[in-house]
Amino acid sequence: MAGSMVYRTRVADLSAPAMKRFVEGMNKLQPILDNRGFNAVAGYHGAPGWYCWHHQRASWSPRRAVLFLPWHRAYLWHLEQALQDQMAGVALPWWDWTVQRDVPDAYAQPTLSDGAHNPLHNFRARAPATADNPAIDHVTTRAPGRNPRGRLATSQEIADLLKNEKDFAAFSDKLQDFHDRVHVWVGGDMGTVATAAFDPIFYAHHCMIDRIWYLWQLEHGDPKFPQELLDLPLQPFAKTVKDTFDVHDLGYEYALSATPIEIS
Amino acid sequence: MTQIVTIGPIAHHCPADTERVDLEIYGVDHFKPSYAAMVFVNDPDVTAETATPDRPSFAGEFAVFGHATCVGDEGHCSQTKTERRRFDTRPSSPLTKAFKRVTITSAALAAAAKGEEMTLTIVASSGDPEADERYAPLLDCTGMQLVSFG
Repeated sequence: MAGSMVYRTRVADLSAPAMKRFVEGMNKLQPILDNRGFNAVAGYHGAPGWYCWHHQRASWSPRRAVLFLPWHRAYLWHLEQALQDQMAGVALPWWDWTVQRDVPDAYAQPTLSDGAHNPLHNFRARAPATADNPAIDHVTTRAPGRNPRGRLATSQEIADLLKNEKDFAAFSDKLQDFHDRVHVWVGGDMGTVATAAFDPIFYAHHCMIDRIWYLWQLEHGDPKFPQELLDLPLQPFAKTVKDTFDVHDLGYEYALSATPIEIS
Repeated sequence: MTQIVTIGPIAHHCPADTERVDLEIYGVDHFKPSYAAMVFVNDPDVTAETATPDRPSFAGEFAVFGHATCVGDEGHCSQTKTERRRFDTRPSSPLTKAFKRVTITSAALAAAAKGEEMTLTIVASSGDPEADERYAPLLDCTGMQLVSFG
């Protein structure tokens, strides 16, 4: 419901009305080329914004290497808000690659049932030219499973991670590695930091990562960051590291399914 | 071409109460195509074709989400220096070298039980032989460390 907290559910278990709203939201967001649109948000991650935290980004302090999860949580929140500007009550779904070992149908099909273009299948990525490089202007592609060494993590590996890694930094390092494997496995634009976030499946993948962190928090609590990191702004979002600890403060939670009931 | 690198022998002591052994990899250059790598213990004969997780010497695996090519101007991707001005608290370049941790407990303890020193063979590939060759070596790092935890 508009203005309420939303539940993020698994892509495969999304109800037909919820999927329809999500697709409609993406259909409205993708053509917008100013700062409200999908292209601008996608550009925060790699080219041209380069804000993302993956690996070490502050080598003078090793503790700063572990902002991978807070930054991407803020990023998903930002996109979800942009989507809700277009379609009230929309929530991002998560791709459970421990169960669904291929690109979900909702993202793999080039067209919708009515023959229209499926906005989850690809996106025309655009970033301005620089003095030394041409503009990015192409439709995103994938090459799932083409690297025989790329392997999706199993549910047992995730269960072991959640149970055994009590230290946040070690947990984040391992989860980031499972995350890297998905980028390798999907391939194409998803395999390159510069363009990965222009592919709509990026966000379903990252919701899965964010959900695993959420599950870890339920078991082990909030990460123990030094004070100077808690108040660090996660650029370009109006959020600090500590703002990302409670998903309820960001307007969402994870569930297996959710069915809004309209009262007439 | 798949990168295969063998390191060692390494005399790493695993005390009797060891519960976990990690291979820590420092200063990983990720200005490379994304790639996946497998780690094998005491098996320098492993090849690109035989490197699979069901091989008895398989110890663990990791992946690197890479940047591949620069899409900025000259200097955009060479801002990886670590010295900072006193008041420059901005995040450093996204290309700041990465840290990777691979848990290799079973293989390391098996080698330790036999009293063997360890050689580590790492097999890395982006899945694109041309890219593997162009960006060789795929795994480019400043150091590694084996660590046992109780």
